Amino acid sequence: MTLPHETAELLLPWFVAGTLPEPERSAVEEHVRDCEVCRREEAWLREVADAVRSRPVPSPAPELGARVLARLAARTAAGPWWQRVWRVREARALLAVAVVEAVALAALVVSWTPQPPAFRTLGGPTAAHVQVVFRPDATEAGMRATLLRVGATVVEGPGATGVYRLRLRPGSDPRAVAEQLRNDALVRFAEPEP
Amino acid sequence: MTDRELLRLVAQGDVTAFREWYDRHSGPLFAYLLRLLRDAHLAEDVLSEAMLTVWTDARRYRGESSPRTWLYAIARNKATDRLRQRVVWPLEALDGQRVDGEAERVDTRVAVEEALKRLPPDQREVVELAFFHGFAYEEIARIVRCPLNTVKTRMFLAKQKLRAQLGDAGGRVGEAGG
Repeated sequence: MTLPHETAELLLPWFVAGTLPEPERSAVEEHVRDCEVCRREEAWLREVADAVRSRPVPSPAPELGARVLARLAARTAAGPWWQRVWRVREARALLAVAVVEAVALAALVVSWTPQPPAFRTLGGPTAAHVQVVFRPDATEAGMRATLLRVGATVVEGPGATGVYRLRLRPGSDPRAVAEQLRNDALVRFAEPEP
Repeated sequence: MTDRELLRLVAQGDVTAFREWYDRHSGPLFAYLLRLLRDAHLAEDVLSEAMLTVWTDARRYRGESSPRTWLYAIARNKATDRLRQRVVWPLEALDGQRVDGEAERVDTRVAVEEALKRLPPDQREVVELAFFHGFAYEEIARIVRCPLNTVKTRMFLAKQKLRAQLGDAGGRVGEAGG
């Protein structure tokens, strides 16, 4: 691509600045190689550009950032409540989690009709049960480790709402195990069956 | 994290991302606004307004230009509004004037700085956006809202005037020109 001298002259500043896109950059480079006038112009422009770039950079007042954030907070607070809540991503995420949990809890309560055991060992202690919902990011290995730690076995689940029914070791205190599960990072919900 | 990724988070209301965006761009943008407005308080005001507009309008960013170009265009628009209230651009009266006693300058940077001050604001702005802020001519056209050829012409005229100024000043830059 042979570039007319006038065109190369117009593009030379951006060639010098390194912001000329292809194929213009290559065309200007080729022209400059063969044009004495443009070579001198390029050298001169490089000095001008270096001088402009080396200027001291003024800074805004250090407290300006805090003032902008304060205005941002005031502006966010000025909208209707639902917009304010929705505006903040963290609040949206929390709201979504709360909705999922509320639905799971409601489903749990509705479906919570204790069934009589199919059979019971005569004279022996009966096994207690706990219902549990794991967090969505819980891995199979993590869940297994949690179950081994509290001495529980999955006997049902997961249901549509993600609820597992756990059978505890005979003699285990279901309240204590449920509490232990609630303190587990992988568990979202745990409740002993009545 | 790229500017686009950061802006996407800002659009979702992420305050931490906004703070990062502010820290990344406020310095250079303030330098640009200060050159346009010649008033540090006014430049800070416009900088604040531009940043708040990013917060409220980030969802409207469509990616036609780079996020930095978009930010500068917002800021320039606000700065232009402020300047309209003054009727004339600052320093416009200096266009073409010479100041006595400056022929002895030997420092290239100072010589160029002084020569830039005497350029018409629209030409000086193109030189600074190209060399100081590193914008391509297409990006400059978006920021100053004018056709590509106008940007190139402004730069061409600026070069001519700078050469005349720097040549007369007798600095190293002036001597390099042909």
